[in-house]
Amino acid sequence: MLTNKKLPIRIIFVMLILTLNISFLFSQEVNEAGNKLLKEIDRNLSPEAFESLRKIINIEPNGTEKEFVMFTLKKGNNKMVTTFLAPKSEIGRSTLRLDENMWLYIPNVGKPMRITSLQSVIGGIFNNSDIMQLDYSAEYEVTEMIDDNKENLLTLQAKTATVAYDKIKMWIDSKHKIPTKIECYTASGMLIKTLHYKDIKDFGNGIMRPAVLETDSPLHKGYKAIMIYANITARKIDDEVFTLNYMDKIKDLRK
Amino acid sequence: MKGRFELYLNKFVGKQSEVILFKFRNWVRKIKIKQILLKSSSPFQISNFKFLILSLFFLNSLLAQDYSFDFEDFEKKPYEYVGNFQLQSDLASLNKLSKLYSLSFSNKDEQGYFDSYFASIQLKGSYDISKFKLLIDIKDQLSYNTNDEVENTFNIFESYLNTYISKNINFQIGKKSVKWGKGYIWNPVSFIGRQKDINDVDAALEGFWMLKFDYVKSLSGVLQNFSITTVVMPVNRDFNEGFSEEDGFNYILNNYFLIKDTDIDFYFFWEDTFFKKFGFDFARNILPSWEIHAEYVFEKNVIRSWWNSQTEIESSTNNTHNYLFGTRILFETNTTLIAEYLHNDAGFETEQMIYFFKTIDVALSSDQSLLPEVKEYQLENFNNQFLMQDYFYLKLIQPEPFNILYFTPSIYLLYNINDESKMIGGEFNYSRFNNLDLKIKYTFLSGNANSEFGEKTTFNKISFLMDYTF
Repeated sequence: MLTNKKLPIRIIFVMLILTLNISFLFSQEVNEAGNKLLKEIDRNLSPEAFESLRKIINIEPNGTEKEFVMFTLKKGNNKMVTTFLAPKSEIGRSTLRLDENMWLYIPNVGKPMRITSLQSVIGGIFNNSDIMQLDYSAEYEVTEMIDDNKENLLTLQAKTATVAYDKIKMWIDSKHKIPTKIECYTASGMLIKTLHYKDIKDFGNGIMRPAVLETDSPLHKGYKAIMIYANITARKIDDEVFTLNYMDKIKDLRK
Repeated sequence: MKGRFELYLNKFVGKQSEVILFKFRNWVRKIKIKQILLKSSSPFQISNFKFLILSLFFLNSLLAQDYSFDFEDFEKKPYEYVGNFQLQSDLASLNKLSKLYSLSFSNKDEQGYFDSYFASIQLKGSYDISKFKLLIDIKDQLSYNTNDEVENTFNIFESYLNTYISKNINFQIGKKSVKWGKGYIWNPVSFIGRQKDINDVDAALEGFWMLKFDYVKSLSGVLQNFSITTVVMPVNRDFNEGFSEEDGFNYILNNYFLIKDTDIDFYFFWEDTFFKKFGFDFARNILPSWEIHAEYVFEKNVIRSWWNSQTEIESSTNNTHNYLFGTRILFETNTTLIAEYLHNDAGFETEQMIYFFKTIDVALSSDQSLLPEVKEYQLENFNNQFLMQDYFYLKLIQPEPFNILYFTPSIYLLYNINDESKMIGGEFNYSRFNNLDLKIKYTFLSGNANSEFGEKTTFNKISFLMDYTF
């Protein structure tokens, strides 16, 4: 027999469990919808397998600039390779990414060596992880989704500790389903850099995405870096291209 | 960054666009000057002024920087070339108290300093013909030193034909530089490569003549991909002279595996039909910013020679075990640390090194008939980068300190564990300017009497380098 004194405690307990269950189910639903949206965003940013030509410009506080041009091949959500085409002193310098493994090949050094995503092969604000960015959905899980009249914001959490940024806040252009702004945070919650997607351009074959990615960082005040896409073209690529053997021959794979 | 107007000009007018742009900009400047002059305006001048303002807005929009770039400049061409011009100046102070200094200057005037100047040009080019690609890399270097000695050296670094028979199979024939191994400072598994210069670890090295065949296969699962490389190297008077003791053919096999995010290589080397050496290496990131690596080589019948306490040369033939293990760590401060321990089994033992230096003493003081033999021994055996058996290497690299973009300082220590002598060095690298690299390097040697670095001819050295790519 339940006593009158125990009844409110039991009711509170049952209500608490119910609330937790409902909120868990609701958050699962949010996560599923968010992750689905994130996959859509990935496909809008690039096809499954593609080649692209990009320019990166590092801008110093006094306005001086240094430019790099790179050719990139990407396949699936875990394979990517880039090689420099300019400036001349950097030609042939290539970076390969297979899941979380990254290697750098420098023509003079003549053999690939392992590097990490937090290093930067070009100096400046863009690090290897920005240049060798795989699909967001491959590395991150959506933990929160805000979709109202004011903003459309996804909060992403890294799936593993090997990902360069622990947490990401992604503002979405809900019409084109592409990011407009991304803030990258460390595990301690410190803002490392902000990426601004700009200049939506039709790259053909249904690829409509920002052609320009600008970044700044509170850690490098006054410095800026810009990544400009000249083309993104869907392409059939053999898996063997993403091996150490091919690293000195990537520029030969341009069509 | 090129403006859209400049890109159109480039496209339609070609090389003349630079001239047109120059004249156009001058015209804009003149208009701006006129705009200032028009401040005391008549009615006619006001309308003229409005026109000029509108024109300036229009021109400004034409000349405004945008984010487009001309990717046609980067399309694949059948031929490609890169040139490299390098100037280097080495200023060294000599250690007059060292044994090797006494040996080198035994019949010469004493010198406190030794300066060297180098100018070199390196040209790399390639040409595609159907599925074949011809590559060539040549270097010519002119050097001049304190003793007014001038020398010109010409080298073919690489010259080979490359072809892809299929996506999996690659075939190369000619002179090629092949570097193997995971170690930073030393690579005992680099069976077909020349040894690194510990003062310039990343320098390009001259290749060997060979026939090379690669098979690569990508898989899904625990074994992510693997490759098989076979190399045939002839050794005779015309090809690869000095690579091995005797003329003949060398056969080398390398198997690479990427297994569960770990790079693993196996190496096998046959001299004609004689199995000469075997090795393996591995590298892996145990944490995203923490890499570990190792190399091991077993070699049969290695001949070693040394001077004994009776100032006589002794020799032995043994199997050797060379190994290296190391790590590379990236800290949150963006500092990279490289640490390696290496064991060179064929190197001198501490006593053998002491006996050699004592032999120099004897040759210079009481028994000068030994001098030619000692000098010849030194020339033949002291060219190796690691003379003794056990070394520890430590390097710290700090890119872009104090937000100075493209500036990379680094310091290193090479410590001889056997005799406790050391080499300490530092490097400042600045690559702010397009295609121009500027470097300052400093090395300092220290050690007791009869130690490796304590008895080197050089006491310390500073180098200035300018590297321009065109």
